[in-house]
Amino acid sequence: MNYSKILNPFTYIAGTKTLLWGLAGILITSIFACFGPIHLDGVLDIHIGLNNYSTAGWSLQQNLIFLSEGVINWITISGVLYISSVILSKSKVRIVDVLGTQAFARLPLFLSVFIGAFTPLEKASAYFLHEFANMGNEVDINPFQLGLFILFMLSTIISIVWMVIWMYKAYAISANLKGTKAIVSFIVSILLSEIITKTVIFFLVSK
Amino acid sequence: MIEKILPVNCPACHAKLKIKRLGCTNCDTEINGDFDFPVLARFEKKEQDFVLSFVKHSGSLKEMAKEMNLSYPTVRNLLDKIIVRIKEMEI
Repeated sequence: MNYSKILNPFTYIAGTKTLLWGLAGILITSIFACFGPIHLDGVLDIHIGLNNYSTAGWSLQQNLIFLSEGVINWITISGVLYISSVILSKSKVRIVDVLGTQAFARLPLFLSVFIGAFTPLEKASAYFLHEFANMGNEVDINPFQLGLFILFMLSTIISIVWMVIWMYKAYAISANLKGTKAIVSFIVSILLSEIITKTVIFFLVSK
Repeated sequence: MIEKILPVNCPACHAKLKIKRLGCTNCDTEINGDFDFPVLARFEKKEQDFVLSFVKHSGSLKEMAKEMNLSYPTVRNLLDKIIVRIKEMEI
Protein backbone atom coordinates (compact mmCIF):
# COMPACT_ATOMS: atom_id res chain seq x y z
CA MET A 1 0.00 0.00 0.00
CA ASN A 2 1.31 3.42 -0.94
CA TYR A 3 1.17 5.39 2.32
CA SER A 4 2.63 8.53 0.73
CA LYS A 5 -0.58 8.83 -1.30
CA ILE A 6 -2.63 8.84 1.91
CA LEU A 7 -0.30 11.18 3.74
CA ASN A 8 0.11 13.56 0.85
CA PRO A 9 -2.27 12.97 -2.08
CA PHE A 10 -1.44 16.40 -3.51
CA THR A 11 1.82 15.16 -4.98
CA TYR A 12 -0.40 13.24 -7.36
CA ILE A 13 -3.61 15.26 -7.69
CA ALA A 14 -4.45 18.96 -7.62
CA GLY A 15 -6.38 21.54 -9.61
CA THR A 16 -9.81 20.84 -11.08
CA LYS A 17 -9.84 17.17 -10.11
CA THR A 18 -9.40 17.95 -6.41
CA LEU A 19 -11.84 20.85 -6.69
CA LEU A 20 -14.64 18.60 -7.98
CA TRP A 21 -13.94 15.86 -5.41
CA GLY A 22 -13.67 18.43 -2.65
CA LEU A 23 -16.88 20.26 -3.54
CA ALA A 24 -18.77 16.97 -3.70
CA GLY A 25 -17.31 16.12 -0.28
CA ILE A 26 -18.32 19.48 1.23
CA LEU A 27 -21.87 19.05 -0.13
CA ILE A 28 -22.28 15.45 1.11
CA THR A 29 -20.72 16.27 4.49
CA SER A 30 -23.13 19.20 4.88
CA ILE A 31 -26.11 16.96 4.09
CA PHE A 32 -25.04 14.40 6.71
CA ALA A 33 -24.33 17.24 9.17
CA CYS A 34 -28.07 18.12 9.00
CA PHE A 35 -28.89 14.68 10.43
CA GLY A 36 -26.48 15.06 13.37
CA PRO A 37 -27.16 17.85 13.89
CA ILE A 38 -23.51 18.81 13.62
CA HIS A 39 -22.24 22.30 13.00
CA LEU A 40 -18.92 22.88 11.24
CA ASP A 41 -18.86 26.40 12.62
CA GLY A 42 -15.25 27.29 12.01
CA VAL A 43 -12.33 26.21 9.88
CA LEU A 44 -11.32 23.46 12.35
CA ASP A 45 -14.61 23.01 14.22
CA ILE A 46 -17.02 20.14 14.65
CA HIS A 47 -19.76 20.90 17.15
CA ILE A 48 -22.95 19.17 18.14
CA GLY A 49 -25.93 21.43 17.43
CA LEU A 50 -27.49 22.16 20.79
CA ASN A 51 -29.73 24.82 22.36
CA ASN A 52 -29.37 28.10 20.49
CA TYR A 53 -27.99 26.22 17.50
CA SER A 54 -30.95 23.88 17.57
CA THR A 55 -32.08 22.60 14.23
CA ALA A 56 -35.51 21.49 15.29
CA GLY A 57 -37.63 21.60 12.18
CA TRP A 58 -36.35 21.32 8.67
CA SER A 59 -36.66 24.72 7.16
CA LEU A 60 -34.83 25.54 3.97
CA GLN A 61 -33.02 28.37 5.72
CA GLN A 62 -31.65 26.06 8.43
CA ASN A 63 -30.45 23.54 5.88
CA LEU A 64 -28.80 26.33 3.92
CA ILE A 65 -26.91 27.33 7.06
CA PHE A 66 -25.47 23.78 7.29
CA LEU A 67 -24.42 23.94 3.66
CA SER A 68 -23.05 27.47 3.87
CA GLU A 69 -20.89 26.61 6.91
CA GLY A 70 -18.86 24.14 4.87
CA VAL A 71 -18.57 26.55 1.95
CA ILE A 72 -17.66 29.54 4.19
CA ASN A 73 -14.90 27.52 5.89
CA TRP A 74 -13.47 26.36 2.57
CA ILE A 75 -13.63 29.77 0.83
CA THR A 76 -12.12 31.56 3.84
CA ILE A 77 -9.16 29.25 4.40
CA SER A 78 -8.49 29.08 0.65
CA GLY A 79 -8.61 32.86 0.34
CA VAL A 80 -6.30 33.48 3.30
CA LEU A 81 -3.83 30.81 2.18
CA TYR A 82 -3.86 32.13 -1.39
CA ILE A 83 -3.01 35.65 -0.19
CA SER A 84 -0.26 34.19 2.00
CA SER A 85 1.08 32.19 -0.99
CA VAL A 86 1.14 35.22 -3.26
CA ILE A 87 3.06 37.22 -0.63
CA LEU A 88 5.55 34.51 0.37
CA SER A 89 6.05 32.23 -2.61
CA LYS A 90 8.47 32.82 -5.45
CA SER A 91 6.51 30.38 -7.60
CA LYS A 92 3.50 31.19 -9.73
CA VAL A 93 0.61 29.97 -7.57
CA ARG A 94 -2.61 28.96 -9.32
CA ILE A 95 -5.80 29.79 -7.43
CA VAL A 96 -7.44 26.59 -8.74
CA ASP A 97 -4.74 24.55 -6.96
CA VAL A 98 -5.32 26.34 -3.64
CA LEU A 99 -9.13 26.11 -3.92
CA GLY A 100 -9.05 22.50 -5.14
CA THR A 101 -6.54 21.05 -2.70
CA GLN A 102 -8.08 22.89 0.27
CA ALA A 103 -11.54 21.56 -0.68
CA PHE A 104 -10.10 18.04 -1.00
CA ALA A 105 -8.30 18.40 2.35
CA ARG A 106 -11.71 18.76 4.04
CA LEU A 107 -12.81 15.25 2.95
CA PRO A 108 -11.71 13.60 6.26
CA LEU A 109 -14.46 15.57 8.04
CA PHE A 110 -16.95 13.25 6.38
CA LEU A 111 -15.74 10.36 8.58
CA SER A 112 -16.75 12.11 11.78
CA VAL A 113 -19.95 13.66 10.38
CA PHE A 114 -21.07 10.31 8.91
CA ILE A 115 -20.68 8.55 12.27
CA GLY A 116 -22.34 11.54 13.97
CA ALA A 117 -25.36 11.29 11.67
CA PHE A 118 -26.18 7.86 13.17
CA THR A 119 -25.37 8.81 16.77
CA PRO A 120 -27.97 10.26 19.17
CA LEU A 121 -25.70 13.25 19.75
CA GLU A 122 -28.09 15.53 21.61
CA LYS A 123 -29.19 12.70 23.89
CA ALA A 124 -25.60 11.62 24.62
CA SER A 125 -24.51 15.22 25.22
CA ALA A 126 -27.41 15.73 27.62
CA TYR A 127 -26.41 12.50 29.40
CA PHE A 128 -22.80 13.67 29.87
CA LEU A 129 -23.94 17.14 30.95
CA HIS A 130 -26.14 15.59 33.63
CA GLU A 131 -23.60 12.97 34.74
CA PHE A 132 -20.49 15.14 34.92
CA ALA A 133 -21.70 18.73 35.21
CA ASN A 134 -24.96 18.06 37.04
CA MET A 135 -26.87 20.08 34.46
CA GLY A 136 -30.29 19.32 32.96
CA ASN A 137 -32.47 16.27 33.52
CA GLU A 138 -31.47 12.64 33.89
CA VAL A 139 -31.20 10.91 30.52
CA ASP A 140 -31.64 7.21 29.87
CA ILE A 141 -29.05 5.99 27.40
CA ASN A 142 -28.13 2.42 26.40
CA PRO A 143 -24.51 1.11 26.08
CA PHE A 144 -24.74 0.92 22.29
CA GLN A 145 -25.66 4.60 22.03
CA LEU A 146 -22.89 5.46 24.48
CA GLY A 147 -20.36 3.42 22.46
CA LEU A 148 -21.48 5.15 19.28
CA PHE A 149 -20.96 8.53 20.94
CA ILE A 150 -17.42 7.58 22.05
CA LEU A 151 -16.71 6.39 18.49
CA PHE A 152 -17.96 9.74 17.23
CA MET A 153 -15.65 11.61 19.63
CA LEU A 154 -12.64 9.50 18.54
CA SER A 155 -13.47 9.91 14.85
CA THR A 156 -13.74 13.67 15.38
CA ILE A 157 -10.16 13.85 16.69
CA ILE A 158 -8.89 11.64 13.85
CA SER A 159 -10.82 13.66 11.23
CA ILE A 160 -9.50 17.01 12.45
CA VAL A 161 -5.86 15.83 12.73
CA TRP A 162 -6.08 14.19 9.29
CA MET A 163 -7.68 17.31 7.78
CA VAL A 164 -5.02 19.64 9.25
CA ILE A 165 -2.21 17.42 7.89
CA TRP A 166 -3.81 17.48 4.43
CA MET A 167 -4.46 21.24 4.62
CA TYR A 168 -0.80 21.86 5.38
CA LYS A 169 0.45 19.49 2.67
CA ALA A 170 -1.98 21.10 0.20
CA TYR A 171 -0.69 24.56 1.08
CA ALA A 172 3.00 23.55 0.97
CA ILE A 173 2.64 22.00 -2.50
CA SER A 174 0.31 24.62 -4.02
CA ALA A 175 2.48 27.49 -2.80
CA ASN A 176 5.85 25.72 -3.09
CA LEU A 177 6.78 26.65 0.48
CA LYS A 178 8.81 24.66 2.97
CA GLY A 179 10.22 24.81 6.49
CA THR A 180 9.60 27.59 8.99
CA LYS A 181 8.13 29.95 6.39
CA ALA A 182 5.45 27.39 5.48
CA ILE A 183 4.67 26.30 9.06
CA VAL A 184 4.43 29.81 10.56
CA SER A 185 2.37 31.24 7.69
CA PHE A 186 0.08 28.20 7.81
CA ILE A 187 -0.55 28.60 11.56
CA VAL A 188 -1.19 32.35 11.18
CA SER A 189 -3.57 31.67 8.27
CA ILE A 190 -5.46 29.06 10.30
CA LEU A 191 -5.86 31.45 13.25
CA LEU A 192 -6.99 34.28 11.00
CA SER A 193 -9.43 32.04 9.14
CA GLU A 194 -10.79 30.71 12.43
CA ILE A 195 -11.59 34.27 13.55
CA ILE A 196 -13.19 35.16 10.21
CA THR A 197 -15.30 31.99 9.94
CA LYS A 198 -16.41 32.08 13.58
CA THR A 199 -17.54 35.70 13.16
CA VAL A 200 -19.29 35.20 9.83
CA ILE A 201 -21.07 32.00 10.89
CA PHE A 202 -22.09 33.53 14.24
CA PHE A 203 -23.81 36.43 12.47
CA LEU A 204 -25.39 34.06 9.97
CA VAL A 205 -26.83 31.74 12.63
CA SER A 206 -27.95 34.50 14.99
CA LYS A 207 -30.00 36.21 12.26
CA MET B 1 25.11 -2.81 -19.48
CA ILE B 2 26.05 -0.64 -16.53
CA GLU B 3 25.04 2.99 -16.93
CA LYS B 4 28.05 5.12 -16.01
CA ILE B 5 27.38 8.34 -14.14
CA LEU B 6 29.47 11.32 -15.16
CA PRO B 7 31.11 12.64 -11.98
CA VAL B 8 30.88 16.43 -11.62
CA ASN B 9 32.40 16.73 -8.14
CA CYS B 10 35.68 15.37 -6.84
CA PRO B 11 35.05 12.19 -4.81
CA ALA B 12 37.95 13.11 -2.50
CA CYS B 13 37.30 16.77 -1.62
CA HIS B 14 33.85 17.42 -3.26
CA ALA B 15 35.18 20.41 -5.25
CA LYS B 16 33.77 21.01 -8.74
CA LEU B 17 35.60 18.96 -11.35
CA LYS B 18 36.87 20.47 -14.60
CA ILE B 19 37.51 18.80 -17.93
CA LYS B 20 41.25 18.54 -18.42
CA ARG B 21 41.42 16.11 -21.30
CA LEU B 22 39.17 15.12 -24.22
CA GLY B 23 39.86 12.30 -26.61
CA CYS B 24 38.57 11.10 -29.97
CA THR B 25 37.88 7.37 -29.95
CA ASN B 26 38.06 7.32 -33.76
CA CYS B 27 41.53 8.81 -34.45
CA ASP B 28 43.02 8.94 -30.95
CA THR B 29 43.39 12.73 -31.04
CA GLU B 30 43.69 14.16 -27.55
CA ILE B 31 42.91 17.69 -26.44
CA ASN B 32 44.29 18.99 -23.19
CA GLY B 33 42.98 22.12 -21.55
CA ASP B 34 40.81 23.53 -18.81
CA PHE B 35 37.14 23.37 -19.66
CA ASP B 36 34.06 23.91 -17.46
CA PHE B 37 31.19 21.46 -17.53
CA PRO B 38 28.09 22.86 -19.28
CA VAL B 39 25.31 23.72 -16.80
CA LEU B 40 23.11 20.79 -17.89
CA ALA B 41 25.95 18.31 -17.42
CA ARG B 42 26.25 19.39 -13.79
CA PHE B 43 22.69 18.29 -13.07
CA GLU B 44 21.82 14.93 -11.58
CA LYS B 45 20.45 12.33 -13.98
CA LYS B 46 16.88 12.87 -12.72
CA GLU B 47 17.13 16.62 -13.29
CA GLN B 48 18.61 16.15 -16.77
CA ASP B 49 15.71 13.83 -17.64
CA PHE B 50 13.27 16.44 -16.35
CA VAL B 51 14.79 19.18 -18.52
CA LEU B 52 14.74 16.90 -21.58
CA SER B 53 11.12 15.99 -20.90
CA PHE B 54 10.28 19.69 -20.48
CA VAL B 55 11.74 20.48 -23.90
CA LYS B 56 10.08 17.45 -25.52
CA HIS B 57 6.70 18.58 -24.16
CA SER B 58 7.24 22.10 -25.52
CA GLY B 59 7.29 23.41 -21.97
CA SER B 60 3.79 22.14 -21.15
CA LEU B 61 3.83 21.30 -17.44
CA LYS B 62 0.28 20.01 -17.74
CA GLU B 63 1.34 17.39 -20.28
CA MET B 64 4.40 16.49 -18.19
CA ALA B 65 2.26 16.09 -15.07
CA LYS B 66 -0.03 13.73 -16.98
CA GLU B 67 2.88 11.62 -18.22
CA MET B 68 4.67 11.55 -14.86
CA ASN B 69 1.46 10.79 -12.91
CA LEU B 70 2.11 13.81 -10.69
CA SER B 71 0.03 16.87 -9.93
CA TYR B 72 0.62 20.14 -11.77
CA PRO B 73 2.01 22.02 -8.73
CA THR B 74 4.41 19.14 -7.96
CA VAL B 75 5.85 19.35 -11.48
CA ARG B 76 5.98 23.16 -11.31
CA ASN B 77 7.84 22.90 -7.97
CA LEU B 78 10.39 20.53 -9.57
CA LEU B 79 10.90 23.05 -12.37
CA ASP B 80 11.29 25.90 -9.86
CA LYS B 81 13.92 23.85 -8.02
CA ILE B 82 15.87 23.45 -11.26
CA ILE B 83 15.57 27.18 -12.00
CA VAL B 84 17.04 27.93 -8.55
CA ARG B 85 19.91 25.46 -9.23
CA ILE B 86 20.66 27.10 -12.59
CA LYS B 87 20.72 30.57 -10.99
CA GLU B 88 23.06 29.31 -8.27
CA MET B 89 25.40 27.83 -10.88
CA GLU B 90 25.45 31.07 -12.85
CA ILE B 91 26.73 33.04 -9.84
